[in-house]
Amino acid sequence: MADPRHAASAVSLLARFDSAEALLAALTGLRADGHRRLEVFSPYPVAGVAEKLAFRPRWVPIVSLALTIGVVIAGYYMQWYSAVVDYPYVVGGKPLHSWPAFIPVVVALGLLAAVIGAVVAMIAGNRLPQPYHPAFEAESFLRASDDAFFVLLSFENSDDRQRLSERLRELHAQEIQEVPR
Amino acid sequence: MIIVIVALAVCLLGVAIDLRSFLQAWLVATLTWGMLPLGAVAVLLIHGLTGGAWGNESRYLWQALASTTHLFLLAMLVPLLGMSWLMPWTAPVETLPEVVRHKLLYLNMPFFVIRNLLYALIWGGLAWWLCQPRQHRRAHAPGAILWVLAFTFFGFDWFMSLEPKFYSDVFGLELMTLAVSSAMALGLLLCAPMLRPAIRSDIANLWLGMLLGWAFMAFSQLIIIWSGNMPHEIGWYLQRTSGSWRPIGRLAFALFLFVPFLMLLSSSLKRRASWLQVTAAICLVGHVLHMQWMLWPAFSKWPANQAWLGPAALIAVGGLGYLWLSRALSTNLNRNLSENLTGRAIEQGGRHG
Repeated sequence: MADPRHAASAVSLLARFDSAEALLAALTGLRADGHRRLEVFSPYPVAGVAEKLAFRPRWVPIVSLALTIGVVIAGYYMQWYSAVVDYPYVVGGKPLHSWPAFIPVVVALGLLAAVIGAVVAMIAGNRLPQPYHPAFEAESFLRASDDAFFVLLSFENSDDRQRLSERLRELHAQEIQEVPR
Repeated sequence: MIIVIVALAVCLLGVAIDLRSFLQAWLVATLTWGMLPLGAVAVLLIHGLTGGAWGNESRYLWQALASTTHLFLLAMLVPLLGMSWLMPWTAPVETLPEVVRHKLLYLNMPFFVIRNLLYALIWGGLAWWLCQPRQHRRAHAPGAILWVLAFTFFGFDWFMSLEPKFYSDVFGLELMTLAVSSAMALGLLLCAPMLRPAIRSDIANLWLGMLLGWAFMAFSQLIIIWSGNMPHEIGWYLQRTSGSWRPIGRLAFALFLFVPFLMLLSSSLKRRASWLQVTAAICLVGHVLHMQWMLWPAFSKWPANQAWLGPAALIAVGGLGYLWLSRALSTNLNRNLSENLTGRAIEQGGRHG
């Protein structure tokens, strides 16, 4: 029985580049050709890749802010409810609803929520955890953590394969491999 | 220019009519604007310690601001000479409440004058040194320590001793964060369009951090004094939440911290010069209001002529500071430009060679 992953046309191209400069130049070329589904792997963070991929962390601040606002409201409500409604107790002759005393708890909870929101949104946005990735099929991919820069290119039409390989060679790709998707 | 001269003339009229009101107005105005150069000195010291592109490219701006420290020190001579009209603890000992009598070992005129000479020496020296083209790196850390110490005692002397019964540990730190935040706001207001977007957002982030630092300090003081509820300390807040000071205090808080905080949340807007300038302007209005809120209620008597004398002194001192600052800024800008040009010329010459 054929492995469903090796079904026809479900293939991506993995191109290896020698240097960060070649990688950036290739990304510029591929973006100009109209490719949008690009993934980049490099041994260290290369400045400018995020801009070249038109990456925008749209959801991270929104998730973080929404979670913070929710937690701040909930935390304040919790303190107000316990101090005013559930167990009214006069401390130091102060009014039951003494807001200055509620602020430190709310600030600490808000900070925690902001950080957790940002981390969770970041992990989800990176589609992690991901135990399998097509790039793992390539033998030389181990070098992504050593000295090689990779671009993974997904495309829809298998007829394009030949043309794309040529284009990648033109952009100084050192090695081009097909990996199942 | 003309406005400043008119405002100065009004102040002189104030001297003739009522010396005490004039001194109060002049002190409030000088302290309000004096926070800005002192904050700029701290920005330069911090950058000297940490380095970073944000400071390399905006150095000339903070230097221009810091150079107005000397004007502030000159303006402080007026209240120093008139301290017996300003400071309640200079009254005869028998009339002072007991708490204050215990403080007279610290709060007495000769020691007060000596301390002020020390502040002038520290701040004037630091401002002069930081405006030199090159500094020795090792001196920034001791400079910052001296700056903090001077600010703490300056806060005790010129803010807290107006109400000698009041005492708060965190007061000096609150003033420092206030000064640095306001100085950064003024810097952004003046020069945001001349900086690169990346540098602009770096400075805006530092500024936001400093504003939050101020919020932390101000709130620590409030919650400690509010929880303790001791007569000498809570009186400071009661004075400032009675009558029209209550809405003014709230407005000052909203303009100084709350609105700028919300406006600085978005990182893409932080790169936009006009947005930062609007934010900085709002924050500075808040700063001016906050300083009035902090200082005016300290004077128990409220003569009617303060209604015109206070604003006149604000305009006079602020106008003098602005004139000084704009001159320093234009020379610094020119020098910065020519340095950049010669730097580039050398680079190109090297490339051709």
